[in-house]
Amino acid sequence: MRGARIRRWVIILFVLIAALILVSLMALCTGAAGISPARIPGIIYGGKGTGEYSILFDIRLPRIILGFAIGGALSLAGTILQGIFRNPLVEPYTLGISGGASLGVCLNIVFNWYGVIGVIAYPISGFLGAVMVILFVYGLSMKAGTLKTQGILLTGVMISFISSSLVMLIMALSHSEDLHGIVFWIMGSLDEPDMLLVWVAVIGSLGGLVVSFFFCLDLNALALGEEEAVHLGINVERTKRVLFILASFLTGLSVSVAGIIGFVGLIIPHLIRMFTGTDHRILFISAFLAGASFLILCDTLARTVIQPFELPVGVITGIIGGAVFVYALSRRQVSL
Amino acid sequence: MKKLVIFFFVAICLPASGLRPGGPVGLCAETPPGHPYTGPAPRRIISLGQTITERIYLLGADKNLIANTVYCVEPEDARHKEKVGTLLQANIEKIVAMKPDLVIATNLASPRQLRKLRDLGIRVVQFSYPENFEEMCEQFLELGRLLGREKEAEEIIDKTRRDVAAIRMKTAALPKKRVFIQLGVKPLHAVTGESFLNDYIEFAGGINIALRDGHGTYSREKVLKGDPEVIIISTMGSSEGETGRKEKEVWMKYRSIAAVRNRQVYLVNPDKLCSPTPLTFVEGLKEITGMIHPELEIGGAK
Repeated sequence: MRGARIRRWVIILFVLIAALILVSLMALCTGAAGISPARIPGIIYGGKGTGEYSILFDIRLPRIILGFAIGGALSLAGTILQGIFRNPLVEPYTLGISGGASLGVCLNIVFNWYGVIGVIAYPISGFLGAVMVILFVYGLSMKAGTLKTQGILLTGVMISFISSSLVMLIMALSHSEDLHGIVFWIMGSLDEPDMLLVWVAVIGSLGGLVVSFFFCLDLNALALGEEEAVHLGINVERTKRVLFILASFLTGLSVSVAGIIGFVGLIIPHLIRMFTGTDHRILFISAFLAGASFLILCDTLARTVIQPFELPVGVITGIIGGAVFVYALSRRQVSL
Repeated sequence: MKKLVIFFFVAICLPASGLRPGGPVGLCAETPPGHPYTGPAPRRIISLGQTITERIYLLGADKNLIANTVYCVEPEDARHKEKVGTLLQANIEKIVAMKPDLVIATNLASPRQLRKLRDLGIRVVQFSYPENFEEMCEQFLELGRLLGREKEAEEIIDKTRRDVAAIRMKTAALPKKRVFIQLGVKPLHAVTGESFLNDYIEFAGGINIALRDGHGTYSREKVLKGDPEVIIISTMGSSEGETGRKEKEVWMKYRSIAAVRNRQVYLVNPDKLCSPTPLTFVEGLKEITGMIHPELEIGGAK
């Protein structure tokens, strides 16, 4: 029984890693420049310094790496949150984190902080906005030392509303040039020129994956219900607290680097759960890998579907994600 | 419970999706952030803005223009150039593959994309949206210097300045009329003193009723109170279409406005008005002058 399960897990991981490699290679081979895949090995080995080498390694590769980090982080955050809340409709953006980050970035644009400390102001202000919301939601939901999960959800939804209204207020009052910057950022993109930020995102999301592993058994127990988990000897409060902060951190990181890219954190956990079941030991890593592949795939579509246009990647994730989600919802027999 | 959760899910998605659409992004065209350059004239230029493309043609440097955006449709020949995306979102990969020696962008271009291009060693010059007529002339001269066509640029600007001065001479003697230029419908957006388009009103012998109203979101009440003698509707993207006509019908209901009684409510093409080259600025000014002072018979008021 145990051997069969491990064999199954190995197969799942193998398939997901293969899919990730395949999608990444495909992303590396497709693009507006029309470099034929057959020539790519030649360019990689002998083309250093040429324009084509630069297209592959300075334009396409950073996007693939960032897609890996952001897709993985969002998907992992979604899995964690759905696990804590035992609610299939929670996703990283439900808790108002993205709203807070958007508000932070809008304030940065309107008050011209980027003019003072440079472009790094965008991710910093986004992250600060996210952190403020996390602290606020967390503070409001802490009652007598316990974290009320339903409370968090409702507060988060309200914070989402408030921040999106404030963003609209800022947009209505701002100059057209600022408006423009806000819209750009909100649309979300993996086009990040600063490699340092890309690596920060990679390290952050992989770090989050490692930390989440220490809590997968606790989360499995939590699936039975909080009281039952306490009886099994799980420190439920600590688990919820750490995982909530971890998920918030992953979301804040993603939103601050890549803007708002929806649906990855909602649908990937669901899809993966259909294959792996609800055991978080395999679910976390699978969701991470699948989220990474999904976002890289969506980004490749976004930049190639209507050339020479480059669509916002959120458009693609939203359309594919939304359609798949409605389909999954309509199949009630699948436990979400 | 499930219903409640679905309700909340939808409720979250709605405002979130409301954040995404473009909205009235930017009004028109471009200032150089100081890029003095004295090397040889660039031979492979990519333009990321329709005004820039038009100006390049005007300067006669179009042979060196290798690509532009899908919105570059004027003059006719610009339509057939290679396309690298839109004003807002260009395809970086395609740009790099075309090996340009100069990319000229507006301030509406994505800052991340421009940074990436610069990081890859491509020379990028950015022109912001001019704040007034004088700045537009300066930018045109700057572009001329950049493309090695300084003399042509100076000639064009000299002629433009003379034409504008001639019109100003004529309108200066006439009584000033109260003018309202409307740019957007929802929300109602006015041309204010901060806008480039305010110069049209001033040069044409008008007083902008929205002169001191900051960024331009306006209300009908204020228009009624300002009682303009001329209303010019230049709704973005669709003055030729339904939106502009409907907006004119709306205004025609307010009989208390002098412009309505005098039948001086006009529609103009926003493309020409908002993204001027020195040449189209003079044409636009003539058109506006004809609307404000039909007695002058300068332009063709419709």
